[in-house]
Amino acid sequence: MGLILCENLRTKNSFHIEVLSLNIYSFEELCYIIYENPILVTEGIVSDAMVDFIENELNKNTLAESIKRKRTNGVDDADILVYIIDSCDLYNNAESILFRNAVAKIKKMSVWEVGKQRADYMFYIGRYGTAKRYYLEILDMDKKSDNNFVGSIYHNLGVTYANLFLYEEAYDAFKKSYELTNDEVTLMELYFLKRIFDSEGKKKKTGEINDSCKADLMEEAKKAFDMALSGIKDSDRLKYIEHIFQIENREEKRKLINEYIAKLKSDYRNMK
Amino acid sequence: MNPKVLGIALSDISTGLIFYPDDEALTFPTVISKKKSEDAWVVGEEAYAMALDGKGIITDKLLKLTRKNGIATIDGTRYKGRDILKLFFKEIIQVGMEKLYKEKPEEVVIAIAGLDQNIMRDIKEALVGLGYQPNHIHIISKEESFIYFVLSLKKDIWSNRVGMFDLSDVSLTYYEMLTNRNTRKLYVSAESENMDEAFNLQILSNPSGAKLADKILTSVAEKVMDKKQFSAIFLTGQVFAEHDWAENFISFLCSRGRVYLDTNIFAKGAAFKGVDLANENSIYNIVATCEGRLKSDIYIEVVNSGKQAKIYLGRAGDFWNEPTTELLLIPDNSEIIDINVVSVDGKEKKNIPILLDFLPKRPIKTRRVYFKSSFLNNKIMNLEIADAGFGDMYFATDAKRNIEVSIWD
Repeated sequence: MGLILCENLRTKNSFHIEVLSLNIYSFEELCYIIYENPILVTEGIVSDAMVDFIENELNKNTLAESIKRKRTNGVDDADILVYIIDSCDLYNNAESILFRNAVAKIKKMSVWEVGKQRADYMFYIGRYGTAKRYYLEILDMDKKSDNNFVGSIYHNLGVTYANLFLYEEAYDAFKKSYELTNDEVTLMELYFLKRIFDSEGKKKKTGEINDSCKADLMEEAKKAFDMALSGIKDSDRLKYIEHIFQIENREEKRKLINEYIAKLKSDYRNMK
Repeated sequence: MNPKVLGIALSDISTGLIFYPDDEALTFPTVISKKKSEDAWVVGEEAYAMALDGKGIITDKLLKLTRKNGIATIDGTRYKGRDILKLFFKEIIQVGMEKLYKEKPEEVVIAIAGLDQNIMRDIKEALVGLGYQPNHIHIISKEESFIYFVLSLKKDIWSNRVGMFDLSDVSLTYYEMLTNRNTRKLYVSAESENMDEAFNLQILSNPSGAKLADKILTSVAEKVMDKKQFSAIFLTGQVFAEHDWAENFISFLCSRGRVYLDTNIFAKGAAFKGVDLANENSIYNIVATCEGRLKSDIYIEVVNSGKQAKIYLGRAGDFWNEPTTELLLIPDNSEIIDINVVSVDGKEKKNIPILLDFLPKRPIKTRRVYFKSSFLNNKIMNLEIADAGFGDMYFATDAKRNIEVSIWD
């Protein structure tokens, strides 16, 4: 598309997107976040706060007025996001159409499919606590889809619990998922849990998993688990930590350690 | 009502002053002398006289001294070049105001040859130190003052090419000016060339030397004017106040166009420029391309409000010391920024790609850069491109590049 001219202004107050724990300072940032995360439409991003930011911080009065009018006329939030993307220079027509399609797809989804999409999105951005809440909300819905769909919700819920280190709850979710789908992938994940339970001495759970798994599947799962373990040893993250501890300059080492711990803390806080 | 303008033509040899609307010019040798053991200074011929009497310590070549950040030790005190220049301005303006009128000018325009940022800053600071407002001090090239001088005359004088010879003790410079009117504006270009054939004016003191000088000038004129025709040819420099010695030279010039003599063209041109600046709307309404002014349009193409648009970093006729453009840009999927250069007549075009390979790797839509352009002179542009970050998603890094770009090779 060529050089995109950005507005050279400094906003006094940022627009905070709670769900992403992110402050937005410019129109380009706002458009980028919307474009990359169309599911945000389900998170109430189209709000008085956003319109206020566009009007008073970005000084885009015309755009703000248009959005206000659309909201008053009952225009769907998804269409308002499309309108915002169309109003910015960051995306060309082809890119704009892609966004329009992504939003249209969301609009066509059933309520529980949308629910799953937003829960999956929360999982993707590391907001495991929110993802868990959303998955449980879908399971509480009266009208549900078929077994496979519900099984996939339980599966993703299991993965979410595992990321929250809630292995017992993960086990229950995976078990329900397997009962509904008979998916061997879920069995392998149960095997992974078994390895964790083994290390924690939880024999009862281990026995249940052994009963459910076929020998050849157990063997395959073992290989996958061992491979994952060795992968962790070779991971960039581990190499980076080793690199930090090899630094001789104490000040530099302390600085990097503090930065790394701050990042871990931030990730942990974001899990909620 | 006529604005009060002070036009100064400054060189290391002589300095001319015009207090517009008065058309009487004052010319001083560019020298200053400090009275021994007194905090008093005199300039010009008086400075020479005082030095000859042994009552003063003379300092000359004031522009050169300032340009090289030189120091002059006078009466045991060390003075920076620009401080001496300030004292010189103070004294010549004082003399001028006493002789002509006593009102402080509204605009001060100084014409010098060889504009650069440092000398312009020093001259400006010297005059600010004398109580003039910075926005009313203007420093232009001699080419530009030549343009304004010529355009202040009747149109038939500049209907075609205009030439000028400026002769002083150390230099012989040939100037040439052309006008070109399009539908809206008058485009005026002026160029100058320092001739190697400059000679010491002392040779004029004897007949054979004067004859040689006439021969040299005629030969130079034949070379630079070739077969071109001129609507006017000017002679400037104190030496032409008496011009009997240049019979053949002037005869040759007359064969090419009408010849005029004025010993204070640059000071007058500077004053006319000041009058133009003092007016709310330009009297001349020209696009001038000459030393100190850009000779090309320089722009980048951007997407703005959904449309392709040109952002001019400088336009032909802009003073190169003034335009500074600061932008925030996202290069999207491009790895270069294209700088476009188009000559004033639109015939020559150039594209200068600026590589962005120093930017950090991240999603293309988040590669926001700070872009600043300025000009070091009318041929070299300075670009500063730095990673501006993308909010809290990507903090700005130290990735930055300063690039000097030759507008024309």
